Amino acid sequence: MAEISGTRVLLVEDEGSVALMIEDMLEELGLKVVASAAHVSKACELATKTSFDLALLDVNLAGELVFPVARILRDRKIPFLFSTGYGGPPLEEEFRDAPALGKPFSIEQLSEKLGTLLRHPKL
Amino acid sequence: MTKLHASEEARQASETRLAATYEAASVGISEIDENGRFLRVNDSLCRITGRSRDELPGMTFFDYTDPNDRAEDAELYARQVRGDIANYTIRKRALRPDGSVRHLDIFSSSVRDTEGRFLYGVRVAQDVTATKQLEDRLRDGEQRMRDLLEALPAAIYTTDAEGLNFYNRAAVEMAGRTPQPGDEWCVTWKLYWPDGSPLPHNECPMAVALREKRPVRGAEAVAERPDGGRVPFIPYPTPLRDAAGNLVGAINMLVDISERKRAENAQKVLIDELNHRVKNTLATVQSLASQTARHAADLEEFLPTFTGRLLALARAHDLLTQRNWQDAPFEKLVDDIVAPVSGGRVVTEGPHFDLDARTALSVTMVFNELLTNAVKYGALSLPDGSVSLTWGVGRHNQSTLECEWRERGGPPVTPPKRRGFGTRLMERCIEHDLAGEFDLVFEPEGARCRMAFPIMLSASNG
Repeated sequence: MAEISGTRVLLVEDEGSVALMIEDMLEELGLKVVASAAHVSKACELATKTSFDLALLDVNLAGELVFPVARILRDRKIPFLFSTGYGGPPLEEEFRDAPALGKPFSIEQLSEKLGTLLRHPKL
Repeated sequence: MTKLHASEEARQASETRLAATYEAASVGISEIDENGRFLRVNDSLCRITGRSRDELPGMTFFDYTDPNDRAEDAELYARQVRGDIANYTIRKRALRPDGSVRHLDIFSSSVRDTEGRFLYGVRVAQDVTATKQLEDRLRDGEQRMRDLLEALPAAIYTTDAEGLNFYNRAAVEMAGRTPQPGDEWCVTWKLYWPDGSPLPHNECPMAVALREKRPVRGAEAVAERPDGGRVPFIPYPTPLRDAAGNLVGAINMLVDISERKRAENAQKVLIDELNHRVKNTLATVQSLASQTARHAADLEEFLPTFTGRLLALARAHDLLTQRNWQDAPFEKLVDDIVAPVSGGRVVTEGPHFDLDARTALSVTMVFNELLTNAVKYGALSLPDGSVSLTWGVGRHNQSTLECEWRERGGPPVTPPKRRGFGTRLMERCIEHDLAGEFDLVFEPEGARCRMAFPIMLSASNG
């Protein structure tokens, strides 16, 4: 995955063991997690102030939905991928077409989604 | 002489006939003077008033009239005698000698001479007692029906061709306004379909029922009150017909389904939450498996470690399901994790605290790791080793729980050569997930772990 080597990632995920696993997957794919948050408020702060190339957003963070963070990223024109534990129902109307990955996912699935995201950011 | 005789005969025949007619009438007929005194009566009047032919001529009609009706009758008769009015009708009560009351409809008029002078009054009396009783029973019956409709907790209203003609208290409460008679065709202020689009009053289920002359069922709508509040409801409009089968109006019952909607919503939220938890749990298991595999030398080492972590997770879930995922008592959590393994060598002490579900799961993972490491490499790997686990309210912050895990009497401690998954996991759980503090040090006497994390302030946590 040469084209994404060194890409900096903001990881937003509220389940510790799952975050560790995703971090390890990203590391294996050659990406680097530069910031990480488990709550919407901290994630908004990081999304506004930190410098990174893409974000992985868990839709449900301890009961709060992550969409405020997504809006900040959209305004900053930074691509993001939703990771979701929800079954089928669509994400909020304005993000209906945003790229998403259902949990649990394999490293191959993550790699494919990230590849598409970086080639066609759809901002 | 014959002509006189013939016309005299004719006159007599006419009089006889008149008298017969007078007597045969089933209504009471009388002639009275300007004071109301009876000059002439028929049998029917005697029957109606319960007085004889001898008694009546000595009386006025006021004498047997109920005192409450006398004044009106008197006033009207006086005006009639004076010539102000030609005639009048009145319904009044008459008292019979036996005390019983009859309701009479009176038709009163005058006979005047060619100059218009009053000669005598003519009164026709009809006994309408039975009819009146029927009317009263009907009115009482109607009142009973209205009382019943008022008492029902569902909003009920009826319409006729001109619009609303009845609504009960519950209808006013639901609509949040007092409807106007003649409103078409609803009691509500504003109406919407369940999806929020406006529903004009002349297209509501009641209007449809009236227009198409059939009951409407299965509809659902939302009523908006003047104060802005919204009430979801189900209407049951049903046409009303007269005895001939013609449509005379309709009745509608509005059943408030707010509670049902709340329950439906709550269930939807719950199911979404459940989906989310299950997916997260599966991802967690995936993580535990992959992490354990990374750090296990071989499958033999992998399985017990992985199973141990999985079971710890399962035990935390047990505690949570016991209390419907509301919360879990910290001291019980600790006990459940420690008891199977410690053999009494883990001493715990601290007050009761209730943890929310997320915190409980994180804390479970952490204690499981600490315990497993203690058993494998730490104090619990030797028979004389022990662990003390103490906790309490944060010294600097009332809304945190501080606890300390201290190992003693184990083999000499050397800090781990690299951070294993367990340490990373514990740090991640406490610092990241719970926004707490986590500090694991390896002192010569044994591993010591101090952590602090926020807890919800609730009645049970003081």
